Amino acid sequence: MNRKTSLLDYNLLVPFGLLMIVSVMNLYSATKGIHGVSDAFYRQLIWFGLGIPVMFFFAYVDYRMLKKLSFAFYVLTLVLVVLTVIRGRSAYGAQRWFSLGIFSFQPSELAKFSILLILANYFDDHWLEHGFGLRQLLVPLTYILIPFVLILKQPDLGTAIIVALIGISIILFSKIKIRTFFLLLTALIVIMPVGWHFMKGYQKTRLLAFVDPYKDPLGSGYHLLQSRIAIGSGRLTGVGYLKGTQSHLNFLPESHTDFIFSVLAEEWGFIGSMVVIALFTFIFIEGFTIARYAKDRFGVILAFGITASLTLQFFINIGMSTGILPVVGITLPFMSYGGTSLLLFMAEFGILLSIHARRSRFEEV
Amino acid sequence: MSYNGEFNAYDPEDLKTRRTYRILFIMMAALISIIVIRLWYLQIYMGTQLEYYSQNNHLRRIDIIAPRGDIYDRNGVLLASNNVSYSLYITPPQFKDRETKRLSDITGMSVTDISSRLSTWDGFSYTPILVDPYLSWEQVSEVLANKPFLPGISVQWQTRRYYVNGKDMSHVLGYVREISGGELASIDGKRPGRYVSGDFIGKYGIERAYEDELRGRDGAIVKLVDASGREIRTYTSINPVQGESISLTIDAGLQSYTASLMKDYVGCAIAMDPSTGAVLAMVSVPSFDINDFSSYLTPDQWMKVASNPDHPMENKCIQGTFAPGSTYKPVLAIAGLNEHVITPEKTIHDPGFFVLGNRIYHDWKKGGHGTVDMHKAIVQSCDTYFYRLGTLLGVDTIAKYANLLGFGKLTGIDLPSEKPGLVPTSAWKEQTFHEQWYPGDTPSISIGQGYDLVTPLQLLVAYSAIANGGSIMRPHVVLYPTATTGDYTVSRLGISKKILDVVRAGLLGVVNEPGGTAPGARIKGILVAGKTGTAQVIRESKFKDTPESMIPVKYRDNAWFVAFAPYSAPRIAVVVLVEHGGHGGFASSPIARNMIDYYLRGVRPQ
Repeated sequence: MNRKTSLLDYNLLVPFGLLMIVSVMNLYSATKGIHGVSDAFYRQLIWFGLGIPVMFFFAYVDYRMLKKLSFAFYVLTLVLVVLTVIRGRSAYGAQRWFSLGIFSFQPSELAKFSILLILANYFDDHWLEHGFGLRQLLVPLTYILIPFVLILKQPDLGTAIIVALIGISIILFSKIKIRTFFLLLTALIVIMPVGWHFMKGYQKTRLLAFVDPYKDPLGSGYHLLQSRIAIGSGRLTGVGYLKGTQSHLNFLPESHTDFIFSVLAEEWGFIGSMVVIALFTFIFIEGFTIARYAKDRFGVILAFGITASLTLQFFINIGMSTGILPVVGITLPFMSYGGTSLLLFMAEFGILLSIHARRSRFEEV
Repeated sequence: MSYNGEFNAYDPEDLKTRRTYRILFIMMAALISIIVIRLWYLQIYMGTQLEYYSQNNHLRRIDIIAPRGDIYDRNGVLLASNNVSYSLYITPPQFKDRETKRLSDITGMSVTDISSRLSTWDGFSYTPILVDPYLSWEQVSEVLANKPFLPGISVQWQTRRYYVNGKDMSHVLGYVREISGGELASIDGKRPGRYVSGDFIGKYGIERAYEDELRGRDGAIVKLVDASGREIRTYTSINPVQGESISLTIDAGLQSYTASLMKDYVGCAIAMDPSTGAVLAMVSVPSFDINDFSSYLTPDQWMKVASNPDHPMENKCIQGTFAPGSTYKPVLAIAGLNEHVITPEKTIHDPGFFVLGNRIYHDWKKGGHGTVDMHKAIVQSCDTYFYRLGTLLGVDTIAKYANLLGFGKLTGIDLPSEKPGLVPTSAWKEQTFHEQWYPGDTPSISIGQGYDLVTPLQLLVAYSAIANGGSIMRPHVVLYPTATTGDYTVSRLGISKKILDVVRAGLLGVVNEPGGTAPGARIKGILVAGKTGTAQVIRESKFKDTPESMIPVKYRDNAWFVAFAPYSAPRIAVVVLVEHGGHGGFASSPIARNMIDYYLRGVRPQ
């Protein structure tokens, strides 16, 4: 057997490849308006094109070199986020974009990766067999809090929440003392009303709209209702590819970004939705398996962090589209339009492949 | 490319690691399950409803109201048709609430009216909502001129009912109005989806009775629209189909002429072909304008009609019940002869009153009619004769013949809201008043007073049966089915020709013999037969001896006249009731005379 090809994890690559095909088809439908396909689709194709070599680059490079770069990368991300807050481009009333010549990109997307990298590094260095107490968690909590506050400041509630959730899930995964866990939980519950006080008006209305979308069906509840209508009208087999009226007649806003799943669900129905969910599930299972059989603890935490971040975003995005979670502006990994996040996801995928290729069993053979 | 030694190795198969991953996979399975269940709920369980919402979003249906069928008279004269009207629609998501005031200025609708129309909006659909169904042409141009300031406003045209003459036959034609919530609910139970809110429906008269025939099949244009309400293309369209046209038995000329004869009175007049039951004219006064009722009725207009003590909205011909007075006497004559309690030749002496027990019943003529046989009793309308005959027959035998002649039950005319009147019997009194029938009750009902209640149409049907040789006909106003002449015979009286001839001869005498009560109905060259009736209305005893002309109008007697002509082969039967008209021969018979003259000879005397 060719050693190079056997290094590749087909359990990961096959569902990923299928998902890419679905993604391109679905994005084509989502961006196809009355007057043809929008530029967004072709831009995304370019990002895909760029993403594939990026993915294979990270697959072949030893992930362990990232450990040394993790702190530098973290600092770089913070600088970029701060710069964005100061003089970024405004989209939808929030500064999330950092212009870099032809393409502008979102440093907050970068933060999702930086945080799991630096936490993997930290817990690899400071491993405690019997779990962490509050004092040992001081540094990692600070790591999480800095980008969280900065991103919240942009303001980008969704990404801030994801960054926090990624951090928290890594802490939980790396074992935390049960007493510390409840202490932090209590603190969080106390802080929540204070957080509400500091939230922007539109963020509050979004949360309120989630509680009762019918109260303001044309305002903040509009997305939620139209998304539900889109998904529901797909019924079992869907209305047919390129025939979804909710997205093509613009009833569904941001159909190619936050509500991409609704487009799929409308056109392919329950069956199509199940296929996509199954593909994601295969990827998640394989991602966690890679984490378990990684050669070292850094690989374990890194692979877990990457897979957990995918799972969280997948769940929050679909939960948001189907109306079980508030609309917070989280995209669906690999499916939503967005260059920065696609490129990052593909790089993370490459890292997963790299960790898999260097797994413990493999080197023993 | 290896960094051996710097990294912590660990055992993937150790117990704690296993437990960690087991928890991890359980959590993941839980999250995936939540999503799958939610999708099942939305797409399978709620699918049908959400699909409906989706279609509501992107398909805009514009209904094209089908024109109703036209209505013609028996000679093909157009009575009711349709013209174009304009209505105002608002597409709520595009409409700016602050423009409500501007819209109110243009249409004259109040701001609250507009808001309440808009409040029916479901919250997200782009289906235009009907706001004002009756825009004048001036308002249409105002709206179109202001269109840039009024986003979401559209004007649509549709056909609307109009009547060539809005007043002369209101009660026959009836009118159409927007369907009420209650009607919609009750029809939806039987025929779901046939009507929608805002549809017009026949509310009265022919429009209501023949709603199913007259109503057309609405068409629609279904358009594909995007979220901003722009029309992308026509999705599908259905052409409207006009309703069936109907021809009436009414003679429009006679109808209008009768209306003009009656216009100064309160009451009603009906003309009918006695051999077929075809109604030639049916007038009830005061009347109301059905063109007003079929469009936007101002509260003032409504109050004027609703508060009128003479009930313009009621068709007195079929909905009004009155004491028949002396017009009831032929019923007793037929009963007496058929039951052999009396012969035509048998005479009585009339001193001007009739005594039963310790009660005295007066004849209308002081001093009485002297020696009276049946013929003279009918001609001169002798009360004493019929008091006596009634007492001989008894209440239940009278009732039997009254029922035979069609009293006390619906005539079956094809117009809504007909009343049955009342034929009293001993059982009825027992049931209603828990009191037995006293012999002293019978004389009053024998001359059509007391408990007797008839509709003018019932009286006409009974007289038509006498005129046509004994057939009770079902009166009708629609020539239907149009191609054939239907048989409208309800029943045969089963009374011998000999008996009917005696009664008919009496009725001829009423008009044409000296001493008859209706000389005013005579027509030169045509033999008219008829009967007057002067029915008391409830009045206070203080007017007992006051001359009729001195009594306030509302306490004056109701004046009846029922007639048919020509005597040998009747082609028209007429009933006229002038409420509070005093003596029947005086007030009503000239009107009946003129109607007959007009119909048979086309003469229209000044």
